[in-house]
Amino acid sequence: MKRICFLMEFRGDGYVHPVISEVMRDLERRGWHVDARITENEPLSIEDLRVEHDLYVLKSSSPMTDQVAALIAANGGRTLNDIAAVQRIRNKIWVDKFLRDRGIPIPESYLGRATDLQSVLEQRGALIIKPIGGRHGVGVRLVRDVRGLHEASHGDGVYAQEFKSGDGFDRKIYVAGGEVWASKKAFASGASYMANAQPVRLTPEMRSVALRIGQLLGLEIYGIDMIESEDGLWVVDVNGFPGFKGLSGVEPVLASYIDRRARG
Amino acid sequence: MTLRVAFLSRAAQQGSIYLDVCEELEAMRVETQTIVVDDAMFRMSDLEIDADLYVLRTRSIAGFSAAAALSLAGARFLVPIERERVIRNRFLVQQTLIASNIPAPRAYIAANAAALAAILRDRGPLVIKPFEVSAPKSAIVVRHENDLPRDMRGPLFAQELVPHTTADIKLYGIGSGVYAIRRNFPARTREEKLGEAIIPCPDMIEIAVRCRKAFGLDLFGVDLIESPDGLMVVDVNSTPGYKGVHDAAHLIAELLYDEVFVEPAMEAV
Repeated sequence: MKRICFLMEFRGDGYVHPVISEVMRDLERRGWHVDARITENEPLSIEDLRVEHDLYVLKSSSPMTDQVAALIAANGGRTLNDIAAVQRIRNKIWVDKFLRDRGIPIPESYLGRATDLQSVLEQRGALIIKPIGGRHGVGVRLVRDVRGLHEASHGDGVYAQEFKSGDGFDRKIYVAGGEVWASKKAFASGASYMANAQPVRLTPEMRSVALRIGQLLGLEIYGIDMIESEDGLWVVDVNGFPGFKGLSGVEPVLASYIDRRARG
Repeated sequence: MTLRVAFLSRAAQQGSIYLDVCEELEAMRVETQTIVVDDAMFRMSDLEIDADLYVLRTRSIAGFSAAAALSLAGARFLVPIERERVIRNRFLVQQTLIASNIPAPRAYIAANAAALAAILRDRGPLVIKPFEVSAPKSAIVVRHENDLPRDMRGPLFAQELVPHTTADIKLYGIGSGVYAIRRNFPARTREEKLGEAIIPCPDMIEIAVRCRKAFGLDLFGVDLIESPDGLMVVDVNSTPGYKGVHDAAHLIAELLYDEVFVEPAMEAV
């Protein structure tokens, strides 16, 4: 068996991920049989699930992929990133507490309902509200008044982060097997993952914080959202396998790392 | 030294056995505290741990998140968070049942209900449930393709509907004790919900013992059906309601007392 399977997210008929398709071709040149699967396409029998690949690359971050990957791992399969690390970062509250306690700069944050967060909003002036189980920035809102706070929370408990103003662009730090890239993107709730990033200078602090987060969380290929604010560099989000779109020289690094990991 | 047990729960529910458990613990000179997670606010940089033992009683995602953060801050939970994560996920529960040779109906993972049409045609009726026990929608039985719900978002857990008797059996575990209640389905009145306490047969005890070991739980419930092929597990949960179990509040309080008082002393030795 010399097989790698990419678990991909459905992005519309005929869509080809520009970076990943090149990585797949590179891996095939290295002698791997490469499959790509969209987990949403067909149901699976839990009893009959078999591990048929040396490595499962978790490019998709969909809830379905997370669950299939957990079952693959429970059956002895290997996933990249490690599904245990992926499941950890799905819980924003856990990640916040875990990284904060280990010295990673994270804006002051709260778990609560809108009514409880009103006084915090009054003190801080603005809050970033995130759904607890959200992804791709869906439902993330900047709120500056009580009405916005209630609209953003829908009556549920939410994760609220102190707003750090920067230059309007999130710094997107990408890491693959110890290599680090920096780019910037304007935040767009629920859609920023589709856009190309613009390269930006990687500072030693960004690099150091990004690598340390990977070590702490057990991530190998990942993205960190940071804000460069007047009062310093702040980490505002951690994601699994990002798109790497708009960066040059990424594909051979990814292929080389996946090749090495698939060999064990 | 005063010991304290904290319950992370939803709003206090009338008739909840855990209100009686609190009374029993207070009688044992153990302080109790109920933290209504959905009404509480947690500041991540300043989480206070002021109980010797925490019991997670809410199934909400906010509750689980709060418990995960408190656990990182050093709180000791009756069910460690990693085990809690497994028991809240029906796919992982099914996987654990299979790995432990505990009989259960065949089950599937699907992105949405429409994707189950082929399985429905090949294998017959399905019981479809959200995979997270925190999800508000309960199980539905689907017998025909046209009845597959369009609005049920996945991932979905679909179990083959196994022919069985009309009565369900609920096994409850408290430490090493196993209690069985036979309950007609669906149970509507209070009496029906309390069901009838029965003496667990050897197969029931075997299933309960295996579940306790497989999931690492001291307080658990197992839903069983009686099929032509024998008993089958259709659901497992932690810290259940223990409806119909005689003296359950006292037994749970004793278990928590041992956990909060005796276990740390043993560790110290």
